[in-house]
Formats: sequence, C-alpha cells, structure tokens
Amino acid sequence: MKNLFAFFYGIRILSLKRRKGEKTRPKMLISIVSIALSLIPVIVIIVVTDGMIEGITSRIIEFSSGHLQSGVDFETEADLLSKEKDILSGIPEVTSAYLEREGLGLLFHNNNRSVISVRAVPRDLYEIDPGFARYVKCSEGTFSLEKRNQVVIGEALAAEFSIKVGDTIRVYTFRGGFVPGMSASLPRVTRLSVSGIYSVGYRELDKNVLFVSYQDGSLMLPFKNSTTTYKIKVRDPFMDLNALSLEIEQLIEAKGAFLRTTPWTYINRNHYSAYQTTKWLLVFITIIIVLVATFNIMSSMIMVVLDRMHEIGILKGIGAKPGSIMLSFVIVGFCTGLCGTVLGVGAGLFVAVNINAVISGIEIIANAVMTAINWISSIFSGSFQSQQIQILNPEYYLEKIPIRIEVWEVSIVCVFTLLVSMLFSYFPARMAAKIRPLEVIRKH
Amino acid sequence: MNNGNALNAEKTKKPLVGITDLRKLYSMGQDTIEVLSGITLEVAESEMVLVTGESGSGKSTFLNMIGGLDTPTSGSVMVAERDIAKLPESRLTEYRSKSVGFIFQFHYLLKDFTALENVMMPLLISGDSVKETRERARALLADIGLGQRQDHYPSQLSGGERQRVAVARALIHDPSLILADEPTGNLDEKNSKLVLELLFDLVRKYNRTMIMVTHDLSIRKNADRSFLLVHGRLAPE
Repeated sequence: MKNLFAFFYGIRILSLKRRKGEKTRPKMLISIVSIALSLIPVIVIIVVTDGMIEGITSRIIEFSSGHLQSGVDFETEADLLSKEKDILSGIPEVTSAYLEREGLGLLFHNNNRSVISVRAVPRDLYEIDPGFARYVKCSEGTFSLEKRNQVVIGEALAAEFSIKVGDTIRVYTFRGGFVPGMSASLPRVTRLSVSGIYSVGYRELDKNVLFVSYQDGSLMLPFKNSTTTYKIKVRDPFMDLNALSLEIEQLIEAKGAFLRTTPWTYINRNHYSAYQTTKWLLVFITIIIVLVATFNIMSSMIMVVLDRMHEIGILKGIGAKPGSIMLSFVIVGFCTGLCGTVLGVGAGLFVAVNINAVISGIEIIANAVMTAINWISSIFSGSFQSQQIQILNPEYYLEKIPIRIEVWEVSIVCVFTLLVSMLFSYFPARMAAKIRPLEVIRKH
Repeated sequence: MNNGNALNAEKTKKPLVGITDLRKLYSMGQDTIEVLSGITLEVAESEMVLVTGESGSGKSTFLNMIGGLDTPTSGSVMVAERDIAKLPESRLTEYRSKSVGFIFQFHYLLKDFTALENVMMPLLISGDSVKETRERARALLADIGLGQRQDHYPSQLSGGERQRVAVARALIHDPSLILADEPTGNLDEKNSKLVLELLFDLVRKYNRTMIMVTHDLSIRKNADRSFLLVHGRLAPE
C-alpha cells in the first residue's frame, strides 16, 4: 500500500501521548474538545427545532387547518358536498373528511367577554378523526357534542373565564341581517353547556376556540358570515399534497363543479416558513461557532508542523514524498475532526434527547438561586417577592418539547465538519510538505 | 583539472557513481563562495571511498549532492546511470527512498518511534507491507546486537546504540549506495570504534557501495580509496 506511511505517521502524530517537553498533542486534544463543544448547540438546535416545528405544525394541522381544505362557496351546493364526500372516500390516501363551519363569536361569562372562534364540527369528530383525537385531550369532562347546545372549550380560555364543566356560557354571533334603519348587525345569543375542557398542549390553540356540533353551529353561524370547508385528513400529511389536491380538484371537476382544494403547506405557509427560517438562522449562527472551533485545527497543526519540522525534514531526507507528508497531516486534521464530531454529535444528541429534563433542571437551579437572592434582599427591604423563571414560556411554546432526529440533517453537519477540518488542515499540511530536508539538517 | 587515475573506479568493476566537474557556489550578499571547484570522481560498485578534510571544506555539501539533497551549480552526478543533478524533486524523492541510505553525524532518529519502527521507516515510505518490513527490521536489529532493544525509544538508548539503529535504518531497504556523513562525529572513542566496525562489516557483508566523509584519518585503512577535500578539490591520499 503506497500511502501506508502517511497513515502510520499521521496516526502517530495524533497520538494523545504527550512527548517529553512537548505541548502539541494537548493542542490537538484542545481542537477535538473545541469542535465537540461547538457541535453540541448545533445538534441541540437542529433536533429541538425540528421537534418543535413538527410538534407545533402537527397540532396546527390536526387541530385547525386539516391536511387539505376544500373551500365551499355556496350553501346551495349541498348536493355537490355529498358528491365530494363520495369522491374523497374513493381516494386511498384520504383517511377522513368532514364538513366544518367556522366563524367569530363573543363569549360572555362572569362579566367577562372575549372574541372567540366558534368551530362547528361533526358530533362524532373525536371518533372519525384519529389525528384530532391524538392531540386534543380533555383535562375535564369529555369531547362530547352529542346533545344539543353542548360546547367544548380550550383549557386556557376556561382558566381565563373560570369556566368549569357543567357551566352554561353565552355566545353572541351574527344573524346575518341588519337592524332596520341602523348599520348594526342583528345578534344571536346562544346558551351553551360546557361538556368538556380540552388541551392541545400548545397554549395558542387552547385560548380562543370553542367547539359546537355542526347542527348547532349552522344555526349560530349563518353561511355568509362564516367559512364552511371540507377538512380532509390523509395518511401522510408530509407527502406531496399538491399532487393530491390537484387529483381531488380534477375528480370534482369531472362531476361538473369546481372546488379549490388547498394543502396545509399553503394554508400555513407563513407559520411554517417562519419556523424554518428561524431554525436555519439559528443553525447558521451556530455553524459559525463550528467554523471558528474547526479553525483551531489549523493553528494547532501549524504548531505541530513547527514542532516536528526537524522530524519531517529527516523523513523527506530518507525518501518520504511531499504528498505522503501532506496526506499525513490531512489525516491528522480528518481524525481530529472525526473525534470532535463523534464526541460533539454524541453529546449533542444526548442533551437534545433529554432537553426537557435539562430545561427543567436549569429552571429549578435558576429559581432556587432567585429565591435565595429574593430572600436575602427581603431581609433588607422587608418584602419578599417570588418570581418564577420559565425558560420556554408555554404561552408561545409547546408544554413539552418533542424530539425529532432527522438523520440527514445530522449527517450533513457531520460531513460539513469533517470537510472543513480537512480544509483547514490542508494549509499546515502544505507547509509540512514544503519543508526542505537540507535546510533542516543544516540548522541542526 | 584531473586528479589522475586514483579518481577513477577500479577498471574491473562497473562504476556506480560518476561525478564530473562538480561545482557548487554560494552567494553571501555581494560575495560568492566556491565550495566545490570542479570535482571529478568515479566510485565502483561495492567500493568504499573515504573523503576527509577540515571542517567547512565542503565534505557534507559534496555528500548532499550525491544524495540528491542539494543541487550543484554545474557538473553532473551520475548514480546508476541517472544524472541526479537533473532529476525533478519527485524522482529525487524516489531516488533517496530506494537507492540511497543516509547516515548522518547526528543519529536523526524519530523521537516518537521505537528503534524497530525507526528501522522500518524507509520500507514503509517505499510502500512495503508492515508484516514483511517488521520481520526484516527485527532480523537486522538482531544482526547488529540490538534485538533486545527494538521496542525502546531513542531516548532510552545510549548514543552508540542510537547510531547503530541509524546504521540499520540506512541499510534496511538494500540501497545501492550508502552515504555516511561523519557517522561517529558525536560519539566517544569506544562507541566510534564499535559503530565503524559495524558499518564496515555490514557494508562488506551486504556488498554495498559507500562514500563516507569524515575528519577521522585513523579509519583510512578500512576504505578502498581515500581522498582529501581541500580548497574545493579532491586529492588522493
């Protein structure tokens, strides 16, 4: 094997055994450690943001938008809707499809009021849509819309209005006409009995939505003052839904009508692209840290080359080719990058998988410190103020961060780190390859 | 100038080294120093040639040019019918790794490698298999009486032992030409004698050609021919 010497020599340079009076090996160790440390935040960010994006996106598409939506323009097209149901049931990818009406209302309770979104859904939604049932859990009561004027409300909304299961709430909606001689719209007041309080695990979705049956909702929300859609769920919401929506539109068109069918990626594109942009921005910033850490390889290796200049000169004197010397040092750079990558990715994955425990631990420590500081300051001020630190405010984030490891993304980070390690080792390697044996021998 | 027949190889043997009108000039600012002033010499296969001279007379420069470590200002250095002075760097590297065995004044062993690994190094550089290389190196170290010291690092060996390892390293790859630059310059008398005896014995045993430069005149008797390098020219002794 022609390059055996390069491997033999490169591995020996990398050996962590310290030579007498020499400081270069710990320097390579420092490079390994700095690469590993810089990779931890990259991996954590990738895994956690992927988990967060998937967690929030899944909740939004299962709870709110559905996987696909067919817009329904006119109430008179009831016949067409039944046709669409037939069409959708014939598509194997479709798991469920149901009619939903959504409109605004005003919730009155305990002298409080708030604008809320009223969603009129099938009475058996919890049974026909497993995706919805997976994310929407009732903390009190059940998701029951069987009886007339039953309502299920979000946990955050219930907490804000002090609503409990069994309470009666009033919801004002618009009738659709106007008061004669005035520009004000005619209101409709509906008394609803709370049968359940749900939580999606994402506060944003729990604080302003209430569910009623489609029959009740049809009375509360006139067609013209609300949005009526067909919500369609498929086996894999992350498949190419554009092709499927086109297929549905064509099938409906064949029946003599046209209904625009839109995938969730389009409906939620602002949310989704904002999450993705934030994620890649964070990855980009942390990649800069990796670049700086990897740059350390170059300075460490220049030290190694200077330290071993004499040795390299001798090796070239006894016939080592410049290419072999260069390869030896590139191998050192590669192995340094590899060790750092293995350690960093391992540690990063460990932290990412245990991120909920890590955050809880940090919160416990931070709160203990804050309590101690407040207690000490209370000795002088006479008043004790208790402040609880929350790293991730559940108002805006998921209550528990899901973990999603995308192997391809982690692989790209690994490959990138290794390539950059080799690139940065190229310059000292070239420097080593250019050492002239005679100069070294003369200097000695 | 021709230094006479003494500078030609034995007529019965094929010349391995043929040096013709070798000159080396160094520029020192405005001044030019002529270190070698037109040396012509032939060395036959299996011959042992000694070059003596005072310090700074150009002995090492002369040897470095034969070894392809330095380039002449003019003239030619033919080794095995190749003009070393005209070889590109890549071919010179190959020449050094396959055809030449260097022994320097200082042992120049690699600190991080054991005696065995140091001896193996030229063969590893040539791309030979580790197993075969290790066997050969072990046999050679045993031959020079360092079989028990093969796993020791240079720092764990005495000066004489280090130089013996350096001799083994110079011979392991069966070079046709051995170049020794004051191989005992750093050793005491006892160790010098030991190393020189070993070197001459091995060169004879393996039937190699050797050019040695030294200022130790006492070893002239061991060489086939000896020369004095003075004022950049070779004179037979």
